[in-house]
Amino acid sequence: MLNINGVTKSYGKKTALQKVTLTLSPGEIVGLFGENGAGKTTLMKCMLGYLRFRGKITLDGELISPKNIGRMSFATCEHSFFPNLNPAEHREFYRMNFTSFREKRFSGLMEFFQLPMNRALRQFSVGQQNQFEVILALCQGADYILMDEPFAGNDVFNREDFYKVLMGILEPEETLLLSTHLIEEVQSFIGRAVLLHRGTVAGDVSVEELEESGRSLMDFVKETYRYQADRVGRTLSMLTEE
Amino acid sequence: MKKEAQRGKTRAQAAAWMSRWSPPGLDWRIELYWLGGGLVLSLFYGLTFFGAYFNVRNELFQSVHGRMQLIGGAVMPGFFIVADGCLRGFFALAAVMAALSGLRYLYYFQGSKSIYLMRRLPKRNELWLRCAVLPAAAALLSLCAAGIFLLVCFAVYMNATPEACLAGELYERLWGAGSLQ
Repeated sequence: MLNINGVTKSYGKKTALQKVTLTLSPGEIVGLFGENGAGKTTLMKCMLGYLRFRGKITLDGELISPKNIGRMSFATCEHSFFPNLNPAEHREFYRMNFTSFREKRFSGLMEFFQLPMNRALRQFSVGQQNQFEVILALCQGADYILMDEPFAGNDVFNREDFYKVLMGILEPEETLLLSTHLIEEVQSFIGRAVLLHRGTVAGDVSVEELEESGRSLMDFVKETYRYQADRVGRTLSMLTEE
Repeated sequence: MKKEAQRGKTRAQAAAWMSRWSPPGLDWRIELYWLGGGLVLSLFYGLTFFGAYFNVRNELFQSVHGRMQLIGGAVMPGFFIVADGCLRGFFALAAVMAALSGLRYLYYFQGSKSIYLMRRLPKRNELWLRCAVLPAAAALLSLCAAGIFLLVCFAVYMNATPEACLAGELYERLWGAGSLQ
């Protein structure tokens, strides 16, 4: 279980995260939503130990350290692969550094997305680079897979394919935390939605609860953010009158 | 044929070792060229020792009826006085090689943020080792080259300086001001 307890992160005077408390259980697929600057990326970076923060993050009761960091993987829209290496060389590197690297899954996904094995990543299209970034995160052999807007730049068909593959290959104990703005696209396969707003958890709900209450994920997001549906109309009529 | 195969194998092993201690995908051969070039330049700069040495050595002699004769009582300045500054190139190279580890770190921010991957490797020191091992070894190599070069220069100093002009004490031979007429 991944426990985030009272995590606060500030950049100078600006507070990016304010006492965020969250628990991710094995096997959950969690969507992390929020406006730009809500703190989604910062939260993930704190979880991975890239940023110093106040509070506590534990993985099965132990602080995140080199001893257990291999149980977490990360796919980011900034990309964390080596642009000069090709996929085959990445496979070697991962094999060397992550004992539970999923060889078979790697080959399967490379074949599915028809990515060339011997071409340097810098020669890939952005869409292909995104795919490869996600492939690495899925194949590292991690129990907790963090994805930070991994599909930015991919076309809709591409994303659809990926959601299907994701649903098909994730094993029951694998946990996925997916940060994205594509709320409607992911609502069919996430089990829980966490909403961040100005560095705090503004909402945390299971999709089951939403279904029971007859609301969609988008409704929930709009409610939580107190979205004013008529504000576009008001603005337009104001401008038209002018 | 067998020798050629053996040589190829050794070369491949060396390349694998160099890659093992470099950031993944970094072309360490370029750094090797820098090191090689730096050593050659340092050596050329170091050769200024011989110019300085033979200038000073010539001052031990005077021309008498067209023949060079040792000046009575002239003492050669100490080795380090003569060799002053000739190792600057090697030292500069060592400093550049040490700074290379910083450039290697920046490599992880080029074209992607592979630093994210390096920082979450279970092997705690992998990031730093890949940044620092080879530059440190290159800096050490440069200092060793400086040491060897210095020994060669000292051997020349000891053998080419007339015995009568060498100071008696070892300290004087190394650091003495000498006395040239």
